[in-house]
Amino acid sequence: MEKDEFYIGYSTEHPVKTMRFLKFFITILGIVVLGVAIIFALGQKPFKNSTFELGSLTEVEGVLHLTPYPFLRTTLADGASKDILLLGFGKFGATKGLQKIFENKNPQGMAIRLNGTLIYYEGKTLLQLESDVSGTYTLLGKTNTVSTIKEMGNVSLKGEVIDPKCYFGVMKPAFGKIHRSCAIRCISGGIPPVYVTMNAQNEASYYLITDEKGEPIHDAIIDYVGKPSEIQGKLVDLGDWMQIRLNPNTIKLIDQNSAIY
Amino acid sequence: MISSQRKRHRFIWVMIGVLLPLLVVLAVLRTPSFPYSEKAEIVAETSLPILKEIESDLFKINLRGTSDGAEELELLLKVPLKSPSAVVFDDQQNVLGQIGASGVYRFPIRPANKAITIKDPIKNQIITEIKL
Amino acid sequence: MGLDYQLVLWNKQKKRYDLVLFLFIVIYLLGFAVVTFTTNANTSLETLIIRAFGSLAILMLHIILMIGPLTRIDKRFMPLLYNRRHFGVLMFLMAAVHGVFSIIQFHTLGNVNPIVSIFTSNLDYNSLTNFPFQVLGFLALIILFLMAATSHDFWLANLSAKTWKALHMAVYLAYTLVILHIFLGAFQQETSPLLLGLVGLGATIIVALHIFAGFKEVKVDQAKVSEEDGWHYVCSVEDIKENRAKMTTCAGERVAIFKYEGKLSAVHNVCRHQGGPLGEGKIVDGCITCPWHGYQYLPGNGQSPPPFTEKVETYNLKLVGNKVYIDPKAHAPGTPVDPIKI
Repeated sequence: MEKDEFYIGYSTEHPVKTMRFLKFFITILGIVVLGVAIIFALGQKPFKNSTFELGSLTEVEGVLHLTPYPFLRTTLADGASKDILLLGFGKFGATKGLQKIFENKNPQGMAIRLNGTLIYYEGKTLLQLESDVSGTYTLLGKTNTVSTIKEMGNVSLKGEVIDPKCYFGVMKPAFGKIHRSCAIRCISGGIPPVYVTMNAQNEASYYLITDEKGEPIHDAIIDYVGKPSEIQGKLVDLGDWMQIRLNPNTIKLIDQNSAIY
Repeated sequence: MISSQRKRHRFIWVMIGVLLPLLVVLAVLRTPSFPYSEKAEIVAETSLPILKEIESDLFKINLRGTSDGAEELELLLKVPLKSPSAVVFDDQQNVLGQIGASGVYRFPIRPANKAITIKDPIKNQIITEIKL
Repeated sequence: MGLDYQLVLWNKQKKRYDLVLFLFIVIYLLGFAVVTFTTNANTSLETLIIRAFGSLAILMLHIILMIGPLTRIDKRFMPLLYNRRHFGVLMFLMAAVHGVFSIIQFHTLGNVNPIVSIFTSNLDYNSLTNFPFQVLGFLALIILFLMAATSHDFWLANLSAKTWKALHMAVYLAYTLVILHIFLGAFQQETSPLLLGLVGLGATIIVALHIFAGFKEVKVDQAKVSEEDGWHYVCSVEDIKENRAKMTTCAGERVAIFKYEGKLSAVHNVCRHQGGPLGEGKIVDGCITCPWHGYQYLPGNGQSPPPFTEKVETYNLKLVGNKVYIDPKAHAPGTPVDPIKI
């Protein structure tokens, strides 16, 4: 007579055939679990080699410029300088930190030695000020620096509005739908919006976005952050960074269908 | 399971079986793709012939020039450099230019130049030295 | 079934079950991390954690949802059902790690309260592709939290079985929300066909299993019952296996007729604990034993043996020749009915 197997969880004895079947099924399940882990891991798009030197402070010396957004121009060598975009702690811009340092004085043209956390990728470098700036800077006096910018005429670009702090180092990925909420928090918190474009050879270009007058723009651009778009505006060559001056109402969202199938 | 529960399950799963694939297919079909756009800044083309090629994992260097010697250093950076700054110096510590993003860079160079050094002044480190 | 409140009534099976679950979790997380670090080393630690725990949680949810219909199709899957609630609670914990890390990563240190930011940072509620997918994930996590928090039998007793079951049926809503959270979120830019195919396969398997099991049960529910003078014909005595039962439908609900020690008794099919099918149970030590968690009832009166107090309805039977008939009018739960002798 065939043994009538019946499983009772709290019992100390368990039906043999059922347990044998179970062992087999769990083994298969274990292989499936490992297989799914491997597939999900392999399915990820490649991450960029952007860097955020979390936990490590670097001292940079340079001259402060405020337009279009606060940055530190540092001399690297004879005839070579770099414009380091300044950012605040967390999802905020550098304005508060600079206000604490300079109080009522105008930071424009001031030479300073600043300690902060470096963020860099693709030849673009940014510096995050500490949340408490006291003790992280040394004022070196005023300079007579003049910013030379070149107006380059009108241009039409396709790409995406991103926040540079996350994009150039702090988060991966830092574009598209996944990151959209964070980018909105950052840009509305004072971090300068940047437009990123990519050509067919996978070469990217970056443009600091301002309004038509060259003034900072934050909340007015929120609706376009993290979505593919087309913009038109005036291109300005700032030297190390490019700038695009536009009217946010003229930004067109591109509703392209999937390129998968 | 009591019979009213079975009925509820049947209803729920037929709904899921119909609605879920529909919504998922719609979401997949309407996934946006990143639009391509040409660079606004254009790197000038060159017509000088290649005299020497040096290749590594990071870059490809073409020394271009005429029979009188090398005039131009063409550097193709394959991956973005992982440094906050990168200045290219010739063998007499003159600045040739800066690099950073992946792409093509062209610097005028003396024919007698024997080597280049790429340094990161912010971190005070030498990134690499290349003999030409 | 204990009288004193105990957090978990541990036994060897539950410990083994949980051990296997922990093993699977470790295999998954290690596998994901190792593959990512070797093939895509530029990842950030936060992204790795968010993706590893999120994908693990969705895998676990799929396996959990398969257990129910699998046990309908083959009884040998019953041991998986026994400790399913531990599986559920662990799955919630994995999802919570994913959710909390994501909230910290994307919504904290900003100019708006993080929970408010979840709902207001992206306001495209009237678009499909731009829909704020994180809201869907957040709502699913709340549902899973409520289920995990009330998974103990204490809540089953105090919330009333109807309320408790309605709350736990919300797992299907959570499942739908999670699938949409994935396809309107991560999959909008992580467009690898591998990911699409895998999750699509998982969802297809679950839907197919449920619909298959469901229609199998429909056949039983809709089986015609022949009536004679108020008595329903069930089957012939030989059709009932020793110490096992035959099920029939009376007044819309199933009833189980057990054969044991040369006798027949009939009880309501639904176990008072979690609604398990007593008719698929077995007589063990003189008691009807529920196949789900082992709750027991005396066949003569439908009462649980002391000190337990659960009771099920009992029914009158009659034997005509070798034909078994049942009176569909149920007695109050716990009413003794003399078993009929074969």
